[in-house]
Amino acid sequence: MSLFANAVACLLCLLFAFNLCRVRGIFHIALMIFIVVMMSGVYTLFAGNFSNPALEYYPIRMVALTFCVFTTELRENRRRFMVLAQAFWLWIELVGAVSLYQMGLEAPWLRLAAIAEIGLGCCFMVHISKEIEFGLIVLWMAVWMFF
Amino acid sequence: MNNKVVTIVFIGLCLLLLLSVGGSFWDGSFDHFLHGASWNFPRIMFVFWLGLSLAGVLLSAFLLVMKVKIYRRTSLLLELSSLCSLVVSGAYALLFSSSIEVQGGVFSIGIVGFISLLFFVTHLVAADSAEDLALCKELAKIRRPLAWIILPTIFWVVSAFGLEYAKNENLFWQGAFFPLYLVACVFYLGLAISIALLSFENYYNRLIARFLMLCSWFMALLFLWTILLKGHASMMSFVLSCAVPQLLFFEVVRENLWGRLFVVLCILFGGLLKCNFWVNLDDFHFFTNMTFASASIVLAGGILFVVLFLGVRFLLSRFFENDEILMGEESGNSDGEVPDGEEKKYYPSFSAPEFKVVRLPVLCGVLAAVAYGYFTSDWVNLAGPFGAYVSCLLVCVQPFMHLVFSKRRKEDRK
Repeated sequence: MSLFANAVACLLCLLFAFNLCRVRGIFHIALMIFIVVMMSGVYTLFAGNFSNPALEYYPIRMVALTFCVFTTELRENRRRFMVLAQAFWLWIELVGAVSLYQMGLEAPWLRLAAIAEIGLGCCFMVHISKEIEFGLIVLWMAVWMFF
Repeated sequence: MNNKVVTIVFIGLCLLLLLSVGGSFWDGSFDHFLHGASWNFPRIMFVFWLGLSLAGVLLSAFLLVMKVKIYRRTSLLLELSSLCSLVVSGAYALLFSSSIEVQGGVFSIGIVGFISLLFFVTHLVAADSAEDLALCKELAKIRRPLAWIILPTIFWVVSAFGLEYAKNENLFWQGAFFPLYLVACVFYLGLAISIALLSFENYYNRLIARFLMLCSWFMALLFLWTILLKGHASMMSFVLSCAVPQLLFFEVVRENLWGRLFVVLCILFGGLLKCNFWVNLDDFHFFTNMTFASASIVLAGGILFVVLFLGVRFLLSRFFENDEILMGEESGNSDGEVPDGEEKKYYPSFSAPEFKVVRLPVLCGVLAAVAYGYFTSDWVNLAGPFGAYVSCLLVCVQPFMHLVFSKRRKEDRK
């Protein structure tokens, strides 16, 4: 996927997370997540080249980034869910990297390390202020864009 | 227990088994039982029951970690179903060792089985108020820490199993999506089987039924994605496990015991067809190669599960049945959620009681996993589960250590 398409995907994730924050109730949240998964799949279908094996899990990566950004808006159990969302992202990236490695392709190990480090850092956070929330979102975007 | 449903299901399965074993003499397929090295039907069943063996405990641990409160009976049934499914898959592996090759990935599922047993026993003893109260309290403290270890271990094991299967057995499934799809399927089967098991108990958890319906939409999306990626997928399985659950939208089906059972059985059969597709890459292989012998092994697995499950369930009925108010038929307004009785308290990082329980065992587990990986060079299949095994053992030892030390302290004071 091109750099521009990757950037648009990142912006889409922010938009999804923003919308996810606005809904209340388990049914509405689940419906919104369903729409997020569907939109991510449709975006990947149109923006990417399917012959690239790295795109197999691209929509799920988008969902993982959406979850990470969404957790910054939570008011209860925020650190727990932030770490869980990053663990989910890490798991998706790990499975993707291993499968790419098995196919003899270059795997994004640096991205894995970056997500693991940010996730570990989140475990140490005591009070997550607005500034830290913003910093985390910027870090996740940087991992998405540059690694 | 809903004796009527249990009796009808059990007698129905036994009659069908007798009929199919008799039929296998008639169509000459009985020979498969004796010389069936190339017969891949047992492999399909083995993979299916192996998936179910992770489903129940995955769902139970997931709900515990996410702080979704469900009643103890539901969790116990899920954990017990996992153990019984593991025994059924083990029976397949023993009886059809010529057609089922047991590899490293399968051993890791065995380790998860042992951890699930620890989780289940801890849950049983913690819930038993007739035993030592101090021990019950101590064991209740390690429930969630165990779930924190079990959840990532199951994700690890299923992913590693999927990756290994795609690499060594069926290159068609190679790619990043297949392991994720496997985990989603296992989770979905867990939801389905929980509704079936609660039906045996004459209860209905509306929360799980809603969750199942929501998950069926996600499964439909994943199915469409598989078609886009691979070109084809099992249509029969899609109809049974994604389209049929939409019947739960109708109150007549949702609130009726047999309606719910029909939907759940369709999902489970859809899961079985999915396993068939993963092994054979042919949607209709299951039906075109169906003989009486094949039907016999499908039914034998089902009967073994029902017998084991109900046997253990009856033996341990005092743990399952207590005076708590349950959801479903007894309380029409309940949706399965338990009201939150605990007061919410903020804990700074690394100071929550769960973390204090889990920190040293996990550290030892990580060291054990690294040592195992270093000496055996097996970093993918068994290193993670081995680390989790060590961690879980150490977590389970902690309550007994606390009790011994507290007794000594009391004696010293005297």
